[in-house]
Amino acid sequence: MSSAEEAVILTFHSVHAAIRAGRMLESKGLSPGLIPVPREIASDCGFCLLLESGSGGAIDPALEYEALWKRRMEVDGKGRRKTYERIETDA
Amino acid sequence: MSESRRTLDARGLACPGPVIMLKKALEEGGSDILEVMVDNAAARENVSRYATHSGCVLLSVREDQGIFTLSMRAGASEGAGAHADGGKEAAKEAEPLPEKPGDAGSADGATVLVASDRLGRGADELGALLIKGFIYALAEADVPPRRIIFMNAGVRLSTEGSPSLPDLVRLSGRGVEILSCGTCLDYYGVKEKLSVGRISNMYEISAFLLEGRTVTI
Repeated sequence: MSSAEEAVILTFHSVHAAIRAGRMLESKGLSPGLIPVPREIASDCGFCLLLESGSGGAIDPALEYEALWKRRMEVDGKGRRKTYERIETDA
Repeated sequence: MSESRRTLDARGLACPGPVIMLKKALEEGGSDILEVMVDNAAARENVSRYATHSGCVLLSVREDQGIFTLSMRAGASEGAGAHADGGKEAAKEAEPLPEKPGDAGSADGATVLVASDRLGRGADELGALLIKGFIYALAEADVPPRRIIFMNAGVRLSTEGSPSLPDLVRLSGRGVEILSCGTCLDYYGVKEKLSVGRISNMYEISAFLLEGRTVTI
């Protein structure tokens, strides 16, 4: 049995920008996860915002993100596989 | 006008082989999009890091049956040769990570002692963010630690209202033992709010801390 989940990841130029954007999204009633930037998409230390699928409409340039990524996570008997796709729309 | 693509098959190459293959391809130029195939996590990270520091834009990272494919737009004008020091900076940034059997293979069997609800000294906001990120990273690791012990203000992380609860529940579900100091829960008045794992005492905790490798946070 397998399942797949999609989420959007926003990366930022600074941790302050990530915290600011997280607060903006929370003020809109969303619950973004402030998580370490996945190693698959950046090797530097940093934090990004993770939004579960369905929250995409809330993403606007005012969040001052650096890049948007789509994460697809497939889970089956063998474990988890994550795929990251950069969405070519910068703020 | 369509973009030119080139695929580099670096499967089976030991580090720094995949990075050298990418470096050569970037120097040769002629391709807008480069795809690099590697077969281990260390090579994936080394290639990703070299690409980023060479001015490439990483477009996607896919995994299929242990094979990672990194797709990137070549950064022609900001490539490795564009560094004023003749590429030394890029070479330094691309210093290979050690190859391990898993992303966090050496964590196997370790005990993590979390003695605060902040990580490090400094701004409270940053300390709270870092400890949350640390526990998230543990939950994401291919090989999690054997157990996590919460003491002093660290017990605030295993009790109701903690932003780390979802990650701790995931870790517990993967067999990681989550222990919280009973005295500490009592002191902070949150014994009834313990939400993951079980209560432990100083005898058990001290035995665990002495029995093997312990990482203190």
